[in-house]
Amino acid sequence: MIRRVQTGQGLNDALATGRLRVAHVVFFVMSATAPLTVVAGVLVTAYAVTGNTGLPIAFAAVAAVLAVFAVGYVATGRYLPHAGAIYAYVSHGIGRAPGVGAAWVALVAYNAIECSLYGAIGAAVSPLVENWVGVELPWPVYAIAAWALVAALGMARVDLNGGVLAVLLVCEVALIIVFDAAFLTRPVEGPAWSVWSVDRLSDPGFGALLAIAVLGYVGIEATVVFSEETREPRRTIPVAMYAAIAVTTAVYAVSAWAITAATGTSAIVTAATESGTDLVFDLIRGRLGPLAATAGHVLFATSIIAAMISFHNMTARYVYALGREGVLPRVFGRTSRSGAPVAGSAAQSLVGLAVITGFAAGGADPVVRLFYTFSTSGSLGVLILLVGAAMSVLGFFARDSRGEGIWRTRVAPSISLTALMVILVLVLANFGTLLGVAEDDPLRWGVPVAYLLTVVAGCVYAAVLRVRQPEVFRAIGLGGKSALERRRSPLTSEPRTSEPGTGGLR
Amino acid sequence: MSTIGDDLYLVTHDDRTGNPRVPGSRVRLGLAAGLIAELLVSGHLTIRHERLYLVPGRAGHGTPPSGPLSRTVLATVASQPPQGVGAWTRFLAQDAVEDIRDRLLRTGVLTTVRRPSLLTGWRVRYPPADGNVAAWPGIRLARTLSRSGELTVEDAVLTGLVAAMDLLHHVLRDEVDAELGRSRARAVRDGLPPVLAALLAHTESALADGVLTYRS
Repeated sequence: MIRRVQTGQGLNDALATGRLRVAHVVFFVMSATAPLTVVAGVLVTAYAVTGNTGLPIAFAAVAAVLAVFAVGYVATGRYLPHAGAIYAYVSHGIGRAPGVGAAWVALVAYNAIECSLYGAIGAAVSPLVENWVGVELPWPVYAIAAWALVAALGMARVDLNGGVLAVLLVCEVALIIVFDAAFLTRPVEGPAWSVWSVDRLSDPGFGALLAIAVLGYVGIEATVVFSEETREPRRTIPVAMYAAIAVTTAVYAVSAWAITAATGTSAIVTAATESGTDLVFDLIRGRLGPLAATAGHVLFATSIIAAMISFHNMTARYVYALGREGVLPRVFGRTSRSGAPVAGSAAQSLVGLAVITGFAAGGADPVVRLFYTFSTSGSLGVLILLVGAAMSVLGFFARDSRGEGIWRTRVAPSISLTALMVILVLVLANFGTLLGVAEDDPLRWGVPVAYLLTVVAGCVYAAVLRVRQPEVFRAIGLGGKSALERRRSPLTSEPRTSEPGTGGLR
Repeated sequence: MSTIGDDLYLVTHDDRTGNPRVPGSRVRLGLAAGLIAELLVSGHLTIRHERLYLVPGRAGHGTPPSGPLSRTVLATVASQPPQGVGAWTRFLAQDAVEDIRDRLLRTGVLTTVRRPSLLTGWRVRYPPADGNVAAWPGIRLARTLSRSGELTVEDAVLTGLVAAMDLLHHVLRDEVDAELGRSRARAVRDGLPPVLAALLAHTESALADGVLTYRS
């Protein structure tokens, strides 16, 4: 029979939500960041492509900026109806037109990151298959197999089970801690303190490393999604976000340092170029034996697949939310009977298939060109989104501080906006170095200009919507709650600024 | 007395095995909305400014709603200061499936079957006593929608909830003119009385939020 609401207990308290605690949220958020994918894949390739050893300090710098950014970001998220997506911040904080621009950028960036993982999976799995079966297969075989798995799971609404993710995450982090300790206690040429020197900040191409550091934190912006399921969201969500940033930073920065110590500062770039994503596992084999190396390879593969599933679902939900709002065709707002955002999932899968086929046909290097170029390009998009989110926080509280203190509404958002702008400028100035291409390469300006055009296209599209379909325009940034805005009736004529869920959207 | 909750239960569950056709979280939200809809249609509850209110004459000393479940829902709503429709839907969703199932068990529409299970000891299912009775609400809806018959307000709400749960395709699967059925369902949804349209919008947004924050 229906539960009674206890005396003195509000309806929201009586809801069976509020089960998640800090540790749960940190696990969910961190498992999407797939630490081993970043450490064994991104870090090593970054050393090879940029030739710069300042990665640890880049992670520390970006973490400091993100921690300040989180203050205003989390505070704003409490008032938004669709807090999981940065374009919703932009829609509410700056305006609906830039909101659509941000949504387009997010779609491009998340799709790029998802596609990049298809380039990495071959490199992760083929050594295992060669070792166990003795067959050497081309990378597109593994990529297509992983793609099919992710596409099927996405359609069937199978998300990764929280428990499985937690076990994988703990194993990954444990392995990373063990090899970091092994690398740092037996360095080749001393403990490589020089990677921490502030002199690295003035090294050519340091800006490129900041983009790589940002890439390591993609997924953390989703922390606010869990606020409805925590008992004390005002405490739990910020603590979880800071904890996730702190743990991720420790793992990445120390690993980047440890890998340098294991090869020697002078040899890291050559070693990374020669061994690629095998470098970490070769080092593990040398220091900890073949069993540990195999375990590492297996975890590398599961880590990439976990990241694929999580980015696939993230992209599919973005498409779904936009379909609900009517910003994308309504068909994208439908679900299958299993409750999966089918059309969004299928759209992401089609993009993935096209990219894999294109790269397989073109014969480009899957690790450097697909994995690295796509993920760093995606990282630039995420950085643009973070700048947009920081502006939105200022804009959101400028109209009404909602009783929040000046540190949350003005000071921290201003500091983080300035710092993120500096990072964006540095990344743009070093984008050629980041991609490892010449200054006159079409990609060097092509990728940034593509993002600019994406923003402009989104704004123009929103302007068209404003004239042609004002009811769709009004629902931008509401996600699932757009159904409430579309229904303009005498029931909703009351201003709903205080109504939970609509976030005081004007 | 309208039986939107019962009808929706039968549409959302297999008419032979009694297993849910859509994931549990979605069934729960839909059935909770069905329970509220019954009381909106009977005039005991209403919606103003996105909140659920008692209708004084009806709920106080007027006719009480028929059936213990409706009376409990009404008493629960009455026990609180006015709350948002979304909050009530999510609150009632906690027990909606079990409550409506009990109602259908009492009227003999569903039966209880216990089978030993290796994993959990016992596995309980609730297959309908008569598959034809269980299939009827869906068939009735499909026929009326695709053959331009007149819909009762109960069936109009039911149509909206079925569409919100993405089960319209399933309901119309055997109809020759399923496209007519779908377009009429859209028209029915747009033509709902404001109070019921409000409930439906809240249900749609709760279901969509579920898709956006889902993880297993």
